[in-house]
Amino acid sequence: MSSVSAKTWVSPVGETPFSKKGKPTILMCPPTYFTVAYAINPWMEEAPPCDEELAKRQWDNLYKAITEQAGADVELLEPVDGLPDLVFTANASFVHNNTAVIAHYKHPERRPEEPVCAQWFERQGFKVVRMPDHIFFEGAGDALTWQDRVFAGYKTRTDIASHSLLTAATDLPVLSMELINPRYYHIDVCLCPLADGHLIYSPDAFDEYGRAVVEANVPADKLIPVTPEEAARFACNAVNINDTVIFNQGSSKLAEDLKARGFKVVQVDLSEFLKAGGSSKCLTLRIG
Amino acid sequence: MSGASGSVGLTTTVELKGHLIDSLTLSKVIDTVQQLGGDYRLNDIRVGSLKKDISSINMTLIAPDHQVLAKLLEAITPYGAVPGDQDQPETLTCEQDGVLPPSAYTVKLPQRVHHLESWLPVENGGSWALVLESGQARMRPVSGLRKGDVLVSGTHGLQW
Repeated sequence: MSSVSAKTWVSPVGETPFSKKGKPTILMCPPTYFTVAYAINPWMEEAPPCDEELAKRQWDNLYKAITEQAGADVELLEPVDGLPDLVFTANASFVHNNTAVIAHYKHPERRPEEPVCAQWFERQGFKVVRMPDHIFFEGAGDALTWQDRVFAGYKTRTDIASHSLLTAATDLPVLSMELINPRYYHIDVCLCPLADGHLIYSPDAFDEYGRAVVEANVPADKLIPVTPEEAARFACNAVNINDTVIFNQGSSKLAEDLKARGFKVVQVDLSEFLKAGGSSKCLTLRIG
Repeated sequence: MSGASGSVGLTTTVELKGHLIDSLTLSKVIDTVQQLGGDYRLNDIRVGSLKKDISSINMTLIAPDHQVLAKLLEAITPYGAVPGDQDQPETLTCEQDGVLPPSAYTVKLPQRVHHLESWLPVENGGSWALVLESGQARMRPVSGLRKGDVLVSGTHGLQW
């Protein structure tokens, strides 16, 4: 079984304005105004009330795991009252080199986040690309760089038409993956690229075509399938920084599979964010 | 290139763009069309030479009737199928109940007929517009138009 080598880990976002820092950089947004205020996914529809104070402590624990255990830098996006889902910075944009392709949300509740994020990326020196008004695209929540290509989800939130535009903006080939389960409404909830060509995924979240695409692109010894039970605990929604993988607690099988391949595992309780349909990866965006 | 040879029926042209081969999107579209009782003909395929280049395909869908054709279009639209360039109709929105916007496509049917030494009104005569609604298209008398109806404008994208 192959094991990860931190020395060969290449930044998945290429050379960005933050690359000069010389260490991985993550964009996060403090949960000052986070709550479950509306229901735009099945998790929100079923959720008991959110404990906002517990959410703040859980976010702080994730922040510490990223900075202290994984050794990354964090840039903070200023929270905005009335935009509770701004905490889910994974959706803000898709980043590749100096280009940021900004999300255009399917649900009107999140659309006010778009100018906030576009302005932030412009100020940081990125070239900002926007989708046409009739094409939805939900950022790095639905587009994940693996090696020299992108696994991109479509149908539930993102339109497949965005994928050609993503290629045009970044020169990256995009592998379009239909999301067949409304509970796995973004690809980052059911697939996660890792260092050294490894990939975590939930086979049940894809149809036969999607599974065939994964298997055709990822060598069998680099593929780490996740059980349906652990996928439902957002095990695939993981943050990988060098050889450290951070994800929601309660997925012991994935933890063991990762350790066997030489990864360090950090599990964090993110129960309050699961109520909004998000976990560790959703709360972060790699920008350098 | 097509599925079953010698297929006849209603046709429409669609286009697909993207990394259609590597994503298996083309296979998915073809399988879906055939599973729903339709057939297809590939008219033009352009495959990119570099890894980052997208492919584009122009294909004709063939269906035995309007119902199947509508199902095919509904099923493959999420996979990125759009009407072929030459098949895009222009549309406009009805702004007032019972009022036909200028430039809307219309068919004018006789309103009166001289019969038995008098002029008889023709039931369902008059001007009719082409309304697009919920994935279906139907002719509707101007008197039945409602504010917000999406109407076809001009004759681009129509087949007889």
